Amino acid sequence: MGGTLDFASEPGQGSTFWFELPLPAGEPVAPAPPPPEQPALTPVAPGVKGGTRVLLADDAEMNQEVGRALLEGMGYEVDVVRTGAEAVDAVQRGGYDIVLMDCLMPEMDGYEATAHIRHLEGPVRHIPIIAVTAAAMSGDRERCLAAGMDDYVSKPLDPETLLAALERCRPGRTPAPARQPGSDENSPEHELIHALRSLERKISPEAFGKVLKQVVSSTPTLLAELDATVAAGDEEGTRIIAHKLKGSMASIGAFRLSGLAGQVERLSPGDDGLADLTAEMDEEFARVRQVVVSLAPIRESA
Amino acid sequence: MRILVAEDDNLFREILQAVLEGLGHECVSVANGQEAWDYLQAEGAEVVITDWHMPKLTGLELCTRVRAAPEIVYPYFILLTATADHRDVVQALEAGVDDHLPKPPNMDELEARLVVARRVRALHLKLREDGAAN
Repeated sequence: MGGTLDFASEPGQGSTFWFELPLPAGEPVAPAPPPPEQPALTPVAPGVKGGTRVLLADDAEMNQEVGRALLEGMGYEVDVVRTGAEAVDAVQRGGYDIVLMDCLMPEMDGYEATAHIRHLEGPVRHIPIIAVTAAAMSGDRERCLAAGMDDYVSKPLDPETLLAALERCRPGRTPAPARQPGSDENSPEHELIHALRSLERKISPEAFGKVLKQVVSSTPTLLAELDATVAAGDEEGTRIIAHKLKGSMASIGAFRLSGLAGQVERLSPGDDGLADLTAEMDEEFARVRQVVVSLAPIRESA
Repeated sequence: MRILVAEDDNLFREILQAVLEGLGHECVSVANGQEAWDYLQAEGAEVVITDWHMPKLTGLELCTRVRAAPEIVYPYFILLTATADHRDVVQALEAGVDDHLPKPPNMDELEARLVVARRVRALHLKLREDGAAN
């Protein structure tokens, strides 16, 4: 680069170092932008809420946007769904720490969705659900709590109140076990094994064997019928078979497969996602089958 | 107790029957409401566990019919509901159902509810006897 580098030093006095560098003239520098305006919300405490995932269920786009902005401003990660049914499916897929549930939504309202979630959870798991109601009517709170919700805020959302409710529900308050999909106690396979073992204790070995055999023999037929009705564009047929699969699979504790069937049942006709969902059901049944066969008291005959 | 199960899902019906038999009950199961109605008229039952949505005759229609038939000695009705919507529950109770459980039910809870069923059914029989004696 050229230039000079030199120094002068005197013992007991200190040293001076200097350099000179020839450099091309630079462009004029724009003034530094003002610091971004801080949201008027409670300051985010980094690392505290990081990784806390909130599922926001609301059908109104405006509320979705407002809710998302508020929550993200507070440092939460947010996913938005539009109906109670979608909320149930999302919770079933897992990965959320808290649900913010609007009470009035089309197809399935927040009360019903909560009841579904609580039912699917069984006695051990419990995801905190905060109800969001349109108006603070007397009796609302009782109704929300009766439906299985944990807390309650009313619209319009007040940031302070919302934050307080979220803080009360935040999983970090009581340390939640780290989740590893597929290997932990909440995995669909584990749930299924648990449900089947519990059934095995209640019924005779013959009856248990018969049930397992029926799962293995009748489910592929239903899945094939579902593929056929989907391929044929038969909406009513698709809905009926999906409903049947939903019930059957829930009755043995195959809740993930049951949930997928529920999604197919509710999907609007001609939806692009149908083929993906049925493919996912086939994959999920392969896992269910593996569990069922592993528990079969007698190896299924070919 | 003698329990009639009305459920159109084959797998779930089989599971329910096996569980009830495992609990020491005598269980008859049918696949729709019409068969349940035929059976109840001929044989009666102490408890009826029925699905809501079934072909031919729904669980609620079945219950309404049975409650209107004085010759059928009060069977305790447990309705299995896919949704926990309070409106459905109200409608079911108004139709004469005694109890409801989500579908699929927790089997321990079902067992506990059957204890209630036994108690209520015994009271009904007692009332009936007292009525006949007077």
